[in-house]
Amino acid sequence: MVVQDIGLIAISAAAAISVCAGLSVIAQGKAAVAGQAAITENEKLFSKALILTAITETQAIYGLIVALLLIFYGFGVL
Amino acid sequence: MLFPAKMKEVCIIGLKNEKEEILENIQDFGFLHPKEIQLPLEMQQPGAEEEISALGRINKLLEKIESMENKKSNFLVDLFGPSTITKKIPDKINLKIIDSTERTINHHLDSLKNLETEIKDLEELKGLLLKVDKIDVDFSFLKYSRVVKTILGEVEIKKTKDLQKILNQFNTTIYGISQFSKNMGSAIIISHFSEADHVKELTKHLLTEYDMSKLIKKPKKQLNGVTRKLNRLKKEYNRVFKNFLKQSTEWKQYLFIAKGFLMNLKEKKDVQAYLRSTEKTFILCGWVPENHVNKLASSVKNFNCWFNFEKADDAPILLENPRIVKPFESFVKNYGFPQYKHLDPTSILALTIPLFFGFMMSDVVYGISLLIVSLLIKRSLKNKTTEWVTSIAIPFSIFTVLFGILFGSYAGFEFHPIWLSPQQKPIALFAVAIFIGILHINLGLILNMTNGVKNKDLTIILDSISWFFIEFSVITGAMRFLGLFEISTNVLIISLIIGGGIRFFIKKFIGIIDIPGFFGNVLSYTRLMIIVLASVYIVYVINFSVKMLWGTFIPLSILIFVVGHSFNFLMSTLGASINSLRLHYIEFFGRFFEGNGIEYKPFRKNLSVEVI
Repeated sequence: MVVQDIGLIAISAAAAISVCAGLSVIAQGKAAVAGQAAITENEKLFSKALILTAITETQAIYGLIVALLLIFYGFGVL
Repeated sequence: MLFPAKMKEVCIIGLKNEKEEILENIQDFGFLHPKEIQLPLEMQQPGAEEEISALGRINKLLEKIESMENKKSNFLVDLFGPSTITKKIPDKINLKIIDSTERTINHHLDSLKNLETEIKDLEELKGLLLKVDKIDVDFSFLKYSRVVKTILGEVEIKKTKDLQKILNQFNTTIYGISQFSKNMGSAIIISHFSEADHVKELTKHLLTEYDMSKLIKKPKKQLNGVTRKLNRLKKEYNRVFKNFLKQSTEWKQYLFIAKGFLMNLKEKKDVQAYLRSTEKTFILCGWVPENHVNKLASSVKNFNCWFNFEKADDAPILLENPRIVKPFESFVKNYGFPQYKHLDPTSILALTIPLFFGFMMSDVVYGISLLIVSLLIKRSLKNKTTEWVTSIAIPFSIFTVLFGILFGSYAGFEFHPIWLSPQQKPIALFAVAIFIGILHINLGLILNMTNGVKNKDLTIILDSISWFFIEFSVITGAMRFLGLFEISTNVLIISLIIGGGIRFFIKKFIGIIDIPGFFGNVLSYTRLMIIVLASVYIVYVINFSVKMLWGTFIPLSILIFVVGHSFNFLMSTLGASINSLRLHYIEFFGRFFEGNGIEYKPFRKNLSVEVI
């Protein structure tokens, strides 16, 4: 099925990725600052700080997947 | 290779009068990781105060030398640390040299500090003299006059008229103004003692007074002398500084070797905290790698010792991997050591981390550049960090070149992709990323099951089995939905119920809540595709800009090509390495690896030391 309104698909895809990525970045920034402070105190906490920072990024990936699915499905690729 | 080294628990009982020699031999043997023992016996005091104090002094001296050398540091040194050379620690060294070295270093530093202060003062004076050098007055005469008082200060040029207006009111006051910059000038006001205070009061809002105490003759004349002295002092400072740097290599070498020697002495005293003793005997327990047990016995065969070796149920972790895989141990250690009798994933990481990195970077030119950059870094800086960087950069660049050929990417220019073109077939790339994710996570589940079988832990085995059932149900269900596979709905539902049931049985509600997270982890592997596409589109923009400008302005297009690709190379390297690590630390390790093992740190004499 190909959706006719290309503009609507594009706006929806943009909204999906931008909202998810924007909010994810805010959280990632906070986690990174806290992680950096923790590493300054104890270098061994590097991997844990990296993990905590990376966890928030997952939401952006979900947003991107939704955006890609919208585009692929909307343009009839899937 | 796939498991940490097997350990034996050992206890050594010896005579107290042979304690020092026995400990020295055990330290030379170098494979005993000491263990706290809970026995109602007398504890020994480590008592390494002397060594700690000497180490403190050495560290302070090294810090002082480093602070002087830091003036000449660069970006590469900040990132990878300075070059080092390995030096042997002798059996005996004269620790009295620490005192003489300390005196010499402090003497040099004091000289440099005095010269620095003198230069700073003279530079301030030179600055002042440059502002007043057009005032042809002998200050030695004026300063000590009993008839007149002199005010010397800075005035804004636009305010000189106001100043003149005020000064013209006084009969016994003369003044002069000389401009030293576009907006500023210096003013000299000479007043009779009777008027001086009044003049000062009225002009203070217009003048910023200079300190005249160091003006001793006519400014121009004094300026020449000050400039000459300043040049002489700067030359002297450079000479002393160069001399300091020249000798610092020798001092540092001695200090690092002394530090290594003292650390060995300190360790020997520190191990006493693990000893328990009776009136005539002492006992020391710990862990020894199984293949070194006999060597321990032979190392103390000349003493009256009694040994007891037992199979260890829990022990510190010694990772044993082939040389080619060894550099990847850092990635495991960064997360934490595996538990005893659990899998050591280093060998798997040595394949999968470069594979993911290569997949995300996937460009022949970038792969070759990565290798060249790492070799150049190793050539310019020789230390353990750069060696490590090069050793991991080789597999990273091999996989990058390999995927570059498969995707047909040469600095972003597409040329006969053998496998698929990311730009033209993003959906196929998406499917490949998900497929890699499923394989990787299932590998984690298999490793988890291996841990369970090895440790006879039914919960761990059931945990993996439950995921296999759930996965089967969801993946085949999705394939059926896409029309790729035919399977009965009943089979899917039964498989899901069995998987969910096992999870509920072993972990209660948490086990059920985990299920969406598991598929979230699979979806997380789409970042493999996302990083590839991001890099592809950035490179597309760079190459498109270069093509547009090529006909009109070639130098600019070359600049865009070089800067753009350098930027993309850096961003891709950073993105690919961080995301590759993330997929391992979160998605892969989350399936089987706990990372709360204890690191194996044997009681050992270091034979060499790294000298910066």
